[in-house]
This record gives sequence, C-alpha cells and structure tokens, in this order.
Amino acid sequence: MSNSVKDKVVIVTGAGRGIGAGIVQDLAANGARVIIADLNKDASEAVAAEIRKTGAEAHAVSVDVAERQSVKAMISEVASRFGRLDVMFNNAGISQTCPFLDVTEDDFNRIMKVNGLGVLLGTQEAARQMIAQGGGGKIVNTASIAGKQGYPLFAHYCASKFAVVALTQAAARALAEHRITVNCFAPGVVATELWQQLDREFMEHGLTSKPEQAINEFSQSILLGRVSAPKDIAGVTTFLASDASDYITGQTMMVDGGMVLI
Amino acid sequence: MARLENKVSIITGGSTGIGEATSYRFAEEGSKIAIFDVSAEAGSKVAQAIIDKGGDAIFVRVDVSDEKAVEAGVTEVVDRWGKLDVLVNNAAITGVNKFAHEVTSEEWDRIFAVNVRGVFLCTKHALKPMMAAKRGSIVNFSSIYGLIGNDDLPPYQATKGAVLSMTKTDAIC
Ligand SMILES: NC(=O)c1ccc[n+]([C@@H]2O[C@H](COP(=O)([O-])OP(=O)(O)OC[C@H]3O[C@@H](n4cnc5c(N)ncnc54)[C@H](O)[C@@H]3O)[C@@H](O)[C@H]2O)c1
Ligand SMILES: NC(=O)c1ccc[n+]([C@@H]2O[C@H](COP(=O)([O-])OP(=O)(O)OC[C@H]3O[C@@H](n4cnc5c(N)ncnc54)[C@H](O)[C@@H]3O)[C@@H](O)[C@H]2O)c1
Repeated sequence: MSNSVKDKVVIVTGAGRGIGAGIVQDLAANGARVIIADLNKDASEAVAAEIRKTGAEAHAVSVDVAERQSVKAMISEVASRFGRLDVMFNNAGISQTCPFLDVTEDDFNRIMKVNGLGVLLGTQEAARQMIAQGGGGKIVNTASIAGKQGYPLFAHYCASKFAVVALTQAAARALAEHRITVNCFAPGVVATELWQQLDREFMEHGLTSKPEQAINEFSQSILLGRVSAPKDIAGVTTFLASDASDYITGQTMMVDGGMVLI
Repeated sequence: MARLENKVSIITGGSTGIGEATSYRFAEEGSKIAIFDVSAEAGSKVAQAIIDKGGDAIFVRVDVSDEKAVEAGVTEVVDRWGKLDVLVNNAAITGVNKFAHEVTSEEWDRIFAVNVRGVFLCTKHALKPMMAAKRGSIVNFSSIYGLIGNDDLPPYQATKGAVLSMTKTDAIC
C-alpha cells in the first residue's frame, strides 16, 4: 500500500485560490500532475505558474462548474493533453451570509447551482471519462460542517452542502462497480477570501460591528482552539487522492479541528 | 515518507490482526512501537520482526482490563523512550453471540472490561505523559457495529457504541 499520488492526473476545481489552491499545492509537492480549474483564469494561471517554479507539472484551465458544456470541455481537454484522468476534486463553491427569513429564490438557486448541481455535473463527467479509460478512479467533493449541521445564517448554503454529502453517497453506490470511489471532506472554518466575504456580509446585515468579529465568534467552539488554513486540510485531501484510501468510499471526513463530532 | 519519525506509539492488541498490521505500518513510518497484548508469543514475534527490519519495538504483556498492568506498561514505555506520542486502542474481544435474555452478567462484564474499561484505562494512563508534554494523539477502534444495529454480537455492539461516545467526550475534555 502506498500513500503516493505520484504521476496521478488530478483536476481541482475552484483551485485559483483558497482551499483549492492549498489542495493542488500539496498534490503537486507529492508528485501529482495537477490541473487548476477555476472560473477566474488569471487566478488559476497564477497558481499554476507558482507550482511550475517548484519543478512540478501544473496546467490551468477555465471552467464554470455549473455549466455542463464547460465541464465537458474541461474534461476532454485534460483527457487529450494528459491521456487520462485519475482524480477529480469538485471543490469550487460559493457562500453567502443571509438571515433565514430573507433568503430569496435567486439566492437559493445561485448557491445550489454552483455547490449542488456543480458537484453532480463534475462527478458525472469525470466518471464518464474514468469509465471510458478503465481502471477506476477517485472523486473527492468539498462538503463542510454545513453539510452536517443547519446554521440559521447559512440556510441555503447548508442545503447545498447536505446535497454534496447526499450526492457523494449516491455516487459511491452508483460507481463502485466501475472501481470509482467517491468521498467528501468537511472543513470547518478556513481563513480564505470566502470567510472575508461572509465577515463583510455579517456587518452589512448589522449582525456584527467590526471586521473579523463574525469569524472569531463562529470559531469559539473549535476544540483545537484556532481557525484553519488550507494547509491544515491538505493532509486529508492528498490522502483521499492516494492509493492509501482505496478502501474508503461514500464517506465524509471531518477536517474541522473538532467542531462537529459524529 | 517517515511520517512518524521519532514518535513513540503504544498499540494495544498489536500481536495479531489489524493491530499487527498497524504495528508494521507505524514502524515503516519511523515510529518506535510498544505492543500491549495478552498474546505473548505472537506479540514477541511482531516486535522481533520490526527489529529485524531495523526498527525499534518491544512487547509488553499487558491485559488492558487490568489497571496495574496498564500503569506499569505505560511507565515502562516512558522510562525506556522518555515520552509517549501515540496510543492506539485496538485490543478487543468479540464476546458471546447471544441475545440479551441469554447473556450472563459475567459474559457482559468481561467484554466491557476489555473493550470499554481497557480503552478507558489505557487512555487514563497515557494522558499523564501526554498532558505533561502538552501534545499527543489517541486513536480508538470503534466498528460499523458502533454505528448501526444488527442481529449479531449484541454485547460487542454495545461496547463499540461506548467507544464512539468516549472518543467524543475525551476529545472535548
Ligand atoms: N472557507 C471555509 O471556511 C470553508 C469551510 C467549509 C467548506 N468550504 C468550501 O470549500 C470550497 C472552497 O472554499 P474557499 O474558502 O477556498 O473559497 P474561495 O472563495 O476562497 O475560493 C473559491 C474558488 O472557486 C472559484 N469558483 C467559484 N464559482 C465557480 C464556478 N462556478 N466554477 C468554477 N470555479 C468557481 C472562485 O473563482 C474561487 O477561486 C467551497 O466549496 C466552500 O464551500 C469552505
Ligand atoms: N476484524 C473486523 O472485521 C473488525 C471490524 C470492525 C472493528 N474491528 C476492531 O478492530 C480491532 C482489532 O480487531 P482484529 O480483527 O484485528 O482482532 P484480533 O482478534 O485479530 O486481534 C485482537 C488482539 O487483541 C488482543 N487482546 C484481546 N484481549 C486483550 C486484552 N485484554 N488485553 C490486551 N490485548 C488483548 C488479542 O490477543 C489480539 O492480539 C478491535 O477493536 C475490533 O473490535 C474489527
């Protein structure tokens, strides 16, 4: 058994910054051939350029995970350039702070489309490629503590992350016969631009009065006593991409410093 | 590799099965290993095999349900290597496969003594050096039978549910 991701071809969506960038950096440092996929092409190019400086292989593509044609085009570009796809990380996601009674249809549909439908499309199109090439594969989705608990200021986001857990379980059952495993991991509070946005929105709704008050208050219950950085997540994500996790499927791995104990 | 370089780990029930495989894997990653088990012959062979491959390991005869033996075992490890980084609470028995109306109190107490009191005692005594060092890692073995109900091994399932619960509360406290 090996923990190796060496020479595996891995796509990570939403890898232009934040958690996704942390995932690809660790994979590349361990010898994977990484594809940085993001809506923001400049951001993914910048991450790819940094990784190439270390001597590792990195390629940037632009994708909108919520559009099937865009996802299909990304997968076929990767298949023709690298010859195969071994691991697909459906990590791109968006969030919004919004009091429960104020969530609109547009808010709900926007979040669901990227976080829920995006994971379905990414899983389907990656699986089609893995089935066609044979030999199995791995799909890893980004869930959240919000996929295990409902929080009043993130109702639609929580619904979308429960959807990620459900899609992970359903896909694990559907794809096992093709030797494709499907798992997700669930971060807690990660200091990325996403939380800067949520923090601003808390203030806009008059829920907090100063910067970082929201993230600090939300983080009170973390057993390990601090918020996380993307590198805290990378041990688990590289493990889920490696052969060492071959006997795991359909699971949600909490990587939250001990916020949700299940 | 060597993700456990210079770490000192106790693996209970390390003489056979999953505990044996865990001992070898930990040794490959650079950890010093103390196998706590009641099965002396098998456990000594595992320790010797690790030493033969250039690792560092000891077998300590410990019945995890016996507090004096656990305390003495942890003391021996800390005296030898100066610290304790990891405790893997793997030792367990499956007990009797009978429904509640057939299980005797002695059978019930025996499986709880190994699977639940054993985890408690090893955790209790491992915490002393870990708290002094302000770091450490404890890994408990529950089971799918700690999560779901099934008409198989009822007393065992109850013990594995207890292990899951202890894992959460010990993490918080
Ligand atoms: N930050 C946290 O505390 C936290 C906690 C739990 C889960 N998560 C999840 O982790 C994932 C990454 O979060 P992050 O904190 O790194 O966020 P981030 O906002 O820093 O980065 C998200 C990236 O995804 C890209 N993206 C957004 N919509 C896209 C689309 N439709 N198609 C392709 N790319 C798109 C963005 O351009 C951005 O580069 C998300 O799924 C998020 O829900 C974050
Ligand atoms: N095998 C499975 O299918 C399975 C499934 C789920 C969980 N588990 C759990 O994994 C762990 C290891 O199981 P295994 O299958 O390797 O079992 P095993 O019977 O092969 O090994 C258990 C080891 O524990 C030792 N042991 C028993 N009582 C002891 C005591 N009082 N003090 C010290 N050592 C003692 C035994 O001598 C043996 O070496 C157990 O906690 C078990 O409940 C096993």
